[in-house]
Amino acid sequence: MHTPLTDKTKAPSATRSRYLSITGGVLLLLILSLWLLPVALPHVDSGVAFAAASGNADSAMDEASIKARLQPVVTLSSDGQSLLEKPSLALAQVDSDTGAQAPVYPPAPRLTESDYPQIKGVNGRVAVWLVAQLHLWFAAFVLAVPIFVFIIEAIGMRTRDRRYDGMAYEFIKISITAYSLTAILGGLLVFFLLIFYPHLFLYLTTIFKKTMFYYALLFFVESAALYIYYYGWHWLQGGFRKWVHLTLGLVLNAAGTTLMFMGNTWVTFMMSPAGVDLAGVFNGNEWEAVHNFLWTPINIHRIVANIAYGGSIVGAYAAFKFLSSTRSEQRAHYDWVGYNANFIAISALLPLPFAGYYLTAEIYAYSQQMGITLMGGIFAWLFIIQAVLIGTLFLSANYYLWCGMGRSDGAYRYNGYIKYLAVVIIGAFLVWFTPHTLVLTNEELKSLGGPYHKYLGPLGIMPAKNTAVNIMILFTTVSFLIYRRANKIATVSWAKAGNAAQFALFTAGIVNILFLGIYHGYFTNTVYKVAASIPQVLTTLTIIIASTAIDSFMYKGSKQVAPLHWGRVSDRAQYALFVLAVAFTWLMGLMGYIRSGIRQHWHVTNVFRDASPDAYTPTLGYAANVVSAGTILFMAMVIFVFWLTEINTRKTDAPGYWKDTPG
Amino acid sequence: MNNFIVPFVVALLAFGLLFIGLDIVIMKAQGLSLFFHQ
Repeated sequence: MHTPLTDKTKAPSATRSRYLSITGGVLLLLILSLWLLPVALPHVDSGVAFAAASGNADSAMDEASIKARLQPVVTLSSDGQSLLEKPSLALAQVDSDTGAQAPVYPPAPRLTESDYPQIKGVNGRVAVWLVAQLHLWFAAFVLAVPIFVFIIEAIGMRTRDRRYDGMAYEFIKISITAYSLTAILGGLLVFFLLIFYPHLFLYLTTIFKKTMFYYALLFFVESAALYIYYYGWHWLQGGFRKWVHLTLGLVLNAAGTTLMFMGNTWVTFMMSPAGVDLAGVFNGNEWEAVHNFLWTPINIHRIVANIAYGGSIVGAYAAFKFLSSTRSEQRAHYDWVGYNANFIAISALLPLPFAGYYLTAEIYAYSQQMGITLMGGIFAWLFIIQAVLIGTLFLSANYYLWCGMGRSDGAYRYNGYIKYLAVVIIGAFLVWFTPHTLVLTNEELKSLGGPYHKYLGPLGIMPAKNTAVNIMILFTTVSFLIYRRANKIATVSWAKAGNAAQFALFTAGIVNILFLGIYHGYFTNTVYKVAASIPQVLTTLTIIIASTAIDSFMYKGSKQVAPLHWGRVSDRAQYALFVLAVAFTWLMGLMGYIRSGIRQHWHVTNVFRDASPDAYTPTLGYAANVVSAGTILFMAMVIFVFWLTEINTRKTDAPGYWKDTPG
Repeated sequence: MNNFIVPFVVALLAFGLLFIGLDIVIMKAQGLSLFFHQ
C-alpha cells in the first residue's frame, strides 16, 4: 500500500532533479565550450596569430614597420582604381585553380580629416564618447541586476522567505525601465558612429559582420526572456512553475552575458587587434578577431565590476525609497533592501582590484608601450583620481556597515573597535593614492633632493599600492564579520579558541602582506615586485575564505541578542549609499576613458590610424570634465527611473470626472 | 586566559608557516626565490 504513495510523493522531486540535471548540464557544457574552443582550436589563438604577423605589438615600432604604415603595405587595384576607393570590389576574388570565390578583404583605410563628417556646433568625439559611456553605464546595470535577481530569487526558493522574492521582483522592475534606456542609447550610439566615424564603422562591420548580426538577434532572446521573467513573475509561482521561472532568469543572464562578451570583442579588437595583418587586412577568421589578446581579461573584469556597480545603483534606489518613505514598515523594508544591495556591491568590490590588476598585467603583456602610457604616462594622474574614488568606495561601504550596526542591540560590544578599523583603512587609503611623480617647483625639488622622497617615494609604486589595497580589503572583511556578529552570541564551547584562531589568521596574514610589500617595494627589482603581488593576493583570499569558514562554524546554532531593528539606521547611512553609486559611476567613466585613450591616435592599435581633427589626447582636466558631465547626465536619468517607480504607486482620485463615479 | 593565548600562539605558528610556504611556492613557480638575488 505504501509503495504507490511513496512513488507519488517522489515523482515531482524526481522530475525536478531530472529537469535540473538536464538544464544544468546543457548550460555547463555551453559555458565550458566558450573556454575550451581556443584550446580545441589552437590555430585560432589570436595572440599567437597576431604575434606571428607582427612579431609582437611593440615590434611594430621598428623602422621598417613605421615605413610600412606610412606607405600602403599592399596595393590592391582594379581597373586602375584603388580598392580603398572602391571597397565593394574587394569582397570577392575568383580562385584560379578551383574557380571558387574567396573573400578578399581590403586593408584598413588611410583617412584624412575630410573623411570625418562634421556637424556645425557638434564635436563628434564628445558626442560619441558621452553616448557610448551612457550606454555602457546602463548596459552594466541591466546586465548586473538580473544576475543578482536570479541569486536572490534562488535564495528565496531555498529559504522559502517571501521577502527575498519580493525584493528580487522589485529589482527587476527597476531594470525594466533601464533596459529601454539602454536600447535607446545603443541605437543612438550606432547612429552617432555612422554619422561621425563611418569608415571606422564600416571597417569593423566588415570584420565583425557575423557577431553584429547575432548580437542583434540575441537582443530578441534577451528581451523575450526579460519580459516573460518580469511579467510572468506572479504567474510562475510555486513548485515546478517557480523552477521554470528561475530557468528563465538563467536564460536571461546567459543572453545578457553573451551580449556583453560580443560587445567586448569589438572594443578589445580596437585595443589588441587579431586576425588582421599590420595593414589591417582581415584574414577572414572572425573567431580569431573575437578571441583577441585582451578579450578574456576585459570579460572577467567587466562581469565582476558590473555586479558591484548594479549593487551600488540598487542600493541608491533603496536609499532614495528609504528617505522618501514616511511609514516605519516601509523604511524597515528599504533599509533591508539597501543592506542587501550594499552586501552585493561590496562582495563584488572585494575581488575587483585583482581583476583590474590582471587586466592591467595583460595590457602590459600585450604591449609595454600601452602599459606605460596607461600607468606611467599621461594617464597616471587619472589613476590617482581612481585611487581616491576607490578609497571613497571602501570608506563609504565600511561607514554604511558601521552605521548599520545600530540595528542590533548587541552592537555595543564591538563599537569600540570601529575607530581602529577607520584608522587602518584611512592609512591604507593615504598610501593607495600617494602619487609616484609629484608636480614640484625647483625649490621643492632641491629641498627633496630629487623627484622622489627617500622613504615615501616607494609608496607611489605598485608594491605599496598592492599592500594598501589588500589591507583595505581585509579590514572591510573585518567590518563584515563584526557586523555579522553584532546581533549574535556564539554557543559552541570552542568560541574563544575560534576567536583566537581568527585573530592569529589575520595577524599572520597581514604580517605576510606587509613583508611582501615592504621588502619587495624597497629592496628588489621590478620582476620581484610584480611576482610578489601574487602571494599577497593569495594571502588575502586565504584569510577571507578561512575566516568566513571559521565564523560560519562558530556561529552555527548561535543565539540572537534581540530581533534586528530594520529601519533603525541614520539617514547619513543612506547618503553613504548615494556616494557609493556616484563614486562607482564616475570611476567607471574615468577608467573607461583611460582604457579607450591608451590607443592614442589609433582607431585600431597600430593598424588603423585616427586622422580626425580630434586625434589627440585631451588634457586631463578636459577629459575629467566630459566624464563628470556624463556622470551628471546618467545620475539625472537614473533619478528619472527611480521617479517612474515612485509615480507608478501613486493614485489620484478624480471624483466626477468619469461618468460612473459621482462627483 | 589560556583558552585564548594557547590557541592563538598555535594558530599563529600554523598560519605563519602556511603563508611563508605559500610565498616560497608561488615565487618558485615564477622562477624566483623569496629573497632577492641579482
